[in-house]
Amino acid sequence: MSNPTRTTEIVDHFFRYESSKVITYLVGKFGKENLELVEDCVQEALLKAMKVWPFKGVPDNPSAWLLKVAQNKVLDTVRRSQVLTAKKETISNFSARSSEVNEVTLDTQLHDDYLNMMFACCHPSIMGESQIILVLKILSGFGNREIARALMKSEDAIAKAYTRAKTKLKKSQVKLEIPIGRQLSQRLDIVLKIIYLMFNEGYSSSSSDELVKQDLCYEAMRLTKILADHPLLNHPNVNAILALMCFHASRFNTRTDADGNLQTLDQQDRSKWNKELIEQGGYHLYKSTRFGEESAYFLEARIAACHAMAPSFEETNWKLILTLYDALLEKRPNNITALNRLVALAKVEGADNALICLEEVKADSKENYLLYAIEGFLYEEVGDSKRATESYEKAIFLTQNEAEKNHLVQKLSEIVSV
Amino acid sequence: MKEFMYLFRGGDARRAEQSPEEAQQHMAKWGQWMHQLAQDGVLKAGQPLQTDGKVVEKAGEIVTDGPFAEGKEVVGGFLIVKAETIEGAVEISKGCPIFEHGGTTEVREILEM
Repeated sequence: MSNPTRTTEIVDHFFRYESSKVITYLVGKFGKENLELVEDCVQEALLKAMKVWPFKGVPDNPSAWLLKVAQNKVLDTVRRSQVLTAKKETISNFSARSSEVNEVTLDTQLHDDYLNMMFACCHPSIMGESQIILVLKILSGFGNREIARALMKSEDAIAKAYTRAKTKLKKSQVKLEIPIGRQLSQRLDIVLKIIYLMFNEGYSSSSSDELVKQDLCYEAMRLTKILADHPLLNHPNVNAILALMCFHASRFNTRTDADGNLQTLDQQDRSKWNKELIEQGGYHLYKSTRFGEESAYFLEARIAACHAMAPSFEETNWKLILTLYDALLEKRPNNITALNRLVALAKVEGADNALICLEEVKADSKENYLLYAIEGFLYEEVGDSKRATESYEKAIFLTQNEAEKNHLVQKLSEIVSV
Repeated sequence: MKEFMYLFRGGDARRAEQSPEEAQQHMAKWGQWMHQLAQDGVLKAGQPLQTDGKVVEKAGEIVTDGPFAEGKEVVGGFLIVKAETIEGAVEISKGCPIFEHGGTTEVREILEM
């Protein structure tokens, strides 16, 4: 028997990445109306690999093996079916050429098909969460269970939403192509928005399922990297968002302590931040710089850079951060930004000033946990522990997130014990 | 030292539901388990089997697609291992990843001359 060890030596997430590559490639060839067939055939190919490789060893080129097996299964089914949904010429072209696939062109082709699908999944005719689910299923190779855990939904809800989204994708006028000309920047914006949402969904702290959530973040980064590597798509915003994600992800290991308790920026052990990611963030931030207008992503990335580069919480360049928040607020006025700005404002101009500003934010925002958590922090800074306690209690009442709740309870107990 | 055959049955339904990530992890477990058997000098041979096949009866008078007897699980593969006793062979089989998917392993001693 050949040595079965190599199945464990296959790189992490190999099946996940390969299945999405093969799916997008075959859908590119057989048309999006055959998406389900392609998905089934790729799933079968994975199952075959799972069954055969431990016995026979991993083939020399596992990617090509998976592609060939899946492709043959699609061809078999299409040939056998009465209703030929795929174009006849495609099939004959395939049969003729499948044995002599040039690996270099195949790589480029796989890449193009992948990007085409990225734009299709993020087509404006498909709405919000459906776009994320399509991306995670088709481009990231996540299973329903993994998506359900990452998005904190039921598996059943994800399955149904995916079926609906797929129907939409198949029936709509969505083309499998990278948009050109003026359309490109608009469509790229949507793709980035989806990736950004994906990252935030993964980054939102949660005591449970930390791993699958991190996966979501790394996946968002991987997709952005693929965009950044394409000469047509290497837009400043793509680099800005990538920089932002690198800086945030550099803190993954320090966001919770050994017991799973949330650690805020001032509590984190900065020596454990991932230097490599911070460096990459710096590189992409540099690539995102351009003359003229600064995008919200760019401003956010710069704020994240200030934190990532600061040797300690006290030595953070709060003045610069405040200036950046001011610009960001103008660009993208929203309460979360306004609230986060208050922390910088407190550091630069004092907490009493920030408390005055907080009243303005309060006036036009709904009750939310962040508002009271920050209010509590500000009262603590000015030494009003009675009010700080009240604010934290409100925040605890309003948050749904266990990790945040525990963190606030901890803060509260610290105030009481002082 | 006697030889025993493991016949792996079932687990297909659960396997079909796996995400690519889960499939890869499951495959890695099979690889690890079989590698360990090889390292321990226990593993003799083994092959995976195609799911569908034919059942031939009455010298070919009846040939049916099989071997899907009602309610019975299909054999997905086999291994031949070396052990002193059937109890030992059963013990070794306990680490098999097929149990994760609700499959079974039949352990049979191979008859010698």
